[in-house]
Amino acid sequence: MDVLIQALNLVATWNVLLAVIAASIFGLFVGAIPGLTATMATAMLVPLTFFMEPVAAVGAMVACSAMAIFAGDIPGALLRIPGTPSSAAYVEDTYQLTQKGQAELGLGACVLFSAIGGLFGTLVLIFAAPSLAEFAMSFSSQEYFWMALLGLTCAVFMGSGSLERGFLSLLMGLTIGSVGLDNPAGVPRLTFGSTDMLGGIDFIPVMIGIFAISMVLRAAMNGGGEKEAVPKTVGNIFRHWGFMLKTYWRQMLRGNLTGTVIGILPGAGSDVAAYVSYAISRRFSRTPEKYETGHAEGVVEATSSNNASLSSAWVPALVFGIPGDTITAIVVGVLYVKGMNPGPTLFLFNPQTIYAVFLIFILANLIMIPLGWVLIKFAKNILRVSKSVLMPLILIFCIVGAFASNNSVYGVTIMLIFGIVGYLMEENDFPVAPCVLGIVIGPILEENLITTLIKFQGSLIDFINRPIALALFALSCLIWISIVYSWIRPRNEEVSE
Amino acid sequence: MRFSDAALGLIFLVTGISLALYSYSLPSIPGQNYGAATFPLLISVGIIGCSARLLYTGIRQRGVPFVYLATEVKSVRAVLSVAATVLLIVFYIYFAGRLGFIPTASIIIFSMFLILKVHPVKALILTVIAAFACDFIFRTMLLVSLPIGIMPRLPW
Repeated sequence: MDVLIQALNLVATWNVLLAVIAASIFGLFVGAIPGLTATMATAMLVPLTFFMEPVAAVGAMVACSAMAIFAGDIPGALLRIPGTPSSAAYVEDTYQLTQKGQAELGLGACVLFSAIGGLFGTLVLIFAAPSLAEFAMSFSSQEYFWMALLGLTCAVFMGSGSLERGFLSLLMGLTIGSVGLDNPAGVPRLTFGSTDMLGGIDFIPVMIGIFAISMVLRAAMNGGGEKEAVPKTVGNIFRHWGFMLKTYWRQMLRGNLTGTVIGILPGAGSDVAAYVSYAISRRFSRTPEKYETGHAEGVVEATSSNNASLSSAWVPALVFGIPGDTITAIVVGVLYVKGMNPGPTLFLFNPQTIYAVFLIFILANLIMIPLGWVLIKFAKNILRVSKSVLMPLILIFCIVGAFASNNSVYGVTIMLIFGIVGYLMEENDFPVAPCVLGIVIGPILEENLITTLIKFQGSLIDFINRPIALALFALSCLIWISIVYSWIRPRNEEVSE
Repeated sequence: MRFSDAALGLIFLVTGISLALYSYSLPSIPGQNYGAATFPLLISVGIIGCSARLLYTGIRQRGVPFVYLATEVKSVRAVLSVAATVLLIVFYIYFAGRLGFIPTASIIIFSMFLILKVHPVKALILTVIAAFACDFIFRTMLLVSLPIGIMPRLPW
């Protein structure tokens, strides 16, 4: 109880509340602009968090990402362009509802079930994370090694596109994470004689480059894009809440559960959660033929799911320091900068900070309703802002943000390089998420690999000499076998033809 | 800019082999068989394996050029716009220290507006507002040491 009061004291300060509200508005704005993702919003927020207290910094990121995921539903409903990839699964339904003059039904479902989903995921986070952390206290380097490897394997497996591209993206991330002095022998590695690179490649300019600069380059390539048609007006979004809660409570619960489980899985994010939940909803629906024609059922389940997964993705990030998706990968980077090194000891030594973060999760999901309502009211004006006007502003904001990461143009150089890399990766169908997770998880993987090798004098069998390590190894093997099988299968089919 | 599978396979194969050769030169932890080389060596094995597969699929896809532009961006303007955006960031890297933040940022923002076909008058107004707002937020409020250059110190 003392911890909770301390946490409340940490949250109930003007600094934190202002940071949360400002970050929420920023997240809503970015999420509502088609093409700007929640991850990009979080990456752009990072330079500002340097100047905040730890709780305010993490709180701002929590609020920003939750709002951006929800706000992505709005352009989907009004323009048929999902604001974030997580909203893409059910965009057809929300848009068709708008076309039928029932925009308030679709958007009302998005506001209500996003908030409930977020709260559900938060509850799981609050109850599961401390117990898991206690359990994780007994983990040794073997378990951490397999956890990290499993996270990376899932990141490749869950991603879209070809598996070899996913793997190469991951291996690129691992190589980037290997740069600098921070390696087992403590020697300069992959620094090419640069003193700036001795400290490793700064994560923040890399994120800004991969997520924001690549998008600016794409906008430059497309000439900024055309102005969107003015959306139709939206009625009272609260009108159908009672009816939806009564009719779709099963879908809501199922979406919450699916989203939470997918969020906890390392490597799978809210977009995967939304797609899986939409598919499940359709599979179990009595009226599957109505899907994609303007039917709220699938929307309820998928939107419940994507916000739930966002909160629960913090479970592996906080407990093991292994991020579940790209957003938590960025957050883990910020946690290190703020001295809140993620891992089970965080719960032991700094429980009040963690509970403060949990409280902000609840707060963010509650203020989503009034802020979401305001955003929908102003959606017409926000969606009219042309990308041609936004992109130059985003570019200069990114440059300053990357510069601020270490007060030198080295950050800007890194940002530019990774902006081009990110752009080329997307052009050539390389998923970006495995690369980002590789950068964050790589050092953890290497440290635990070398520790275990030295501890057991190179004996590989000792990597699975403990029950949990063995279970994690078996799970990883299952995924690898399915990957190898998918590589071999097409060749066999060709041979049989 | 898109690369064929064969081109990508070749690029990554060279990268993987270079990484492996480089890693061999890294020392171990004194008294141990493992060290700075272990992890990058494992990474290079992975890169070589995946690139070999890409190369294999690439060689079987006949008629795909090594490098090509996607059909929707096959205009000179599109390519020049991307090149100009990259050059604007390079301009910041080399000139921000000498010119100062506000002049450099103004040039970048205004050029970017013109690249994206925003009306010059609107672009000029937005450029001035954005450059000064960014300077105020980051230098004054967040105490980032943005380069001053030729600019006189502002009163705020």
